[in-house]
Amino acid sequence: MISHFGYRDASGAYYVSVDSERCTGCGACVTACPQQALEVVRTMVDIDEQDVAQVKEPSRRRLAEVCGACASARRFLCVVACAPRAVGVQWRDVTSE
Amino acid sequence: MAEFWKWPEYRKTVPGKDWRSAAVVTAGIDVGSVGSKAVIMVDGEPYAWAVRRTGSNSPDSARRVLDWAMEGTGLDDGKIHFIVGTGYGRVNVPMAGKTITEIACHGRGANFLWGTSVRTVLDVGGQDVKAIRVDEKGKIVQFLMNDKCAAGTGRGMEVFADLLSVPIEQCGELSLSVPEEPPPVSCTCVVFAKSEAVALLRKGWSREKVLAAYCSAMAHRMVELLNKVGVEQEFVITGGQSKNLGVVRRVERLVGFASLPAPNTDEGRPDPVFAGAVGAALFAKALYERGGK
Repeated sequence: MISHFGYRDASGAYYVSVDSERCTGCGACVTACPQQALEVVRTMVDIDEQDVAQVKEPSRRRLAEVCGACASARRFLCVVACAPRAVGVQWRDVTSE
Repeated sequence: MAEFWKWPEYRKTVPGKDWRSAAVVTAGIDVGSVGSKAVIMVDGEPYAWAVRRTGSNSPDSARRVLDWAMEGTGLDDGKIHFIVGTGYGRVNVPMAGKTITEIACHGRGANFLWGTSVRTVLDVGGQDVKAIRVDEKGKIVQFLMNDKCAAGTGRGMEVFADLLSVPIEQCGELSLSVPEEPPPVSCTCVVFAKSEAVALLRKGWSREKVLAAYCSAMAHRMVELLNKVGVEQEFVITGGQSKNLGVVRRVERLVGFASLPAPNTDEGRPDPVFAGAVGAALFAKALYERGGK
């Protein structure tokens, strides 16, 4: 299951996505995030419980701001830290284009 | 003063069915931000269901809607083998053996209500919109929820119904009666859209034209979400706004194909408002059979 966290607005499109089939719940992305925007939660995937990374609720509404530093550095540390390649970022800031 | 936003609460028991002869009785309770739904299933088939407006106190809403669904059936909590809670207020379903996210429940419920060919589910609730892609088993493949704000949701429609003095069940139809589609309101934010609507009315716009502009803005927002996860047939709409034809028809126009019609209530299938509660009741059965009580 791929969960997309984020939104599109007039300034662009900002999404952090987590693939629960690849995520091991190891928390490397949580440690790597300089903004503490991520967390690992126990969640139901079908009828089994699994530890999966997700974007914390308050951060989901303000990703443009929260992930801004990584975006300017063109290096999303959560993505870099994820060995099984479960975390992805889609970033399109039209104001900087 | 008439309260135009007030949508009707209702319940149903499927005639000719009896829980006493069933091996497994389960229930799903979906406490939404605007409506609370309960579905009771006997051996995995819908038996009784009810929907009520959610009160300010979630545990009480769960209790009231389950009691109403059980009314006249002779059932009580002790006779239900397993209860699953879901929805925005799912942490406040004290009688639930387990809580499951509404995303999983809507996927499973849609798969049950419309069949295994469903691939895309758009759930439009009172306070959020979710675009969900499912496989043939109803398992979630991908999902996106609008976490930015409650713009363009059922609650916004309630505000509009009151503002325009149009009963909420008629808003959708009325919005479709415009001779020509107006441009969507520029902002679906409930607060700003309200002042924009007032300005349009002052400019001489008819109520149907204002409704059309708002429904159109809602539809555009929903299709943005759908495009992110990818919209594929068969396509269904669940949640309270599945009853709003003004939004449903406009979403269909934008995606380029129709959504499946609602299942037949007379054939013992609850309407699409209950998709989440149906999914929860099905999960309850699976969990019970696995020995999870």
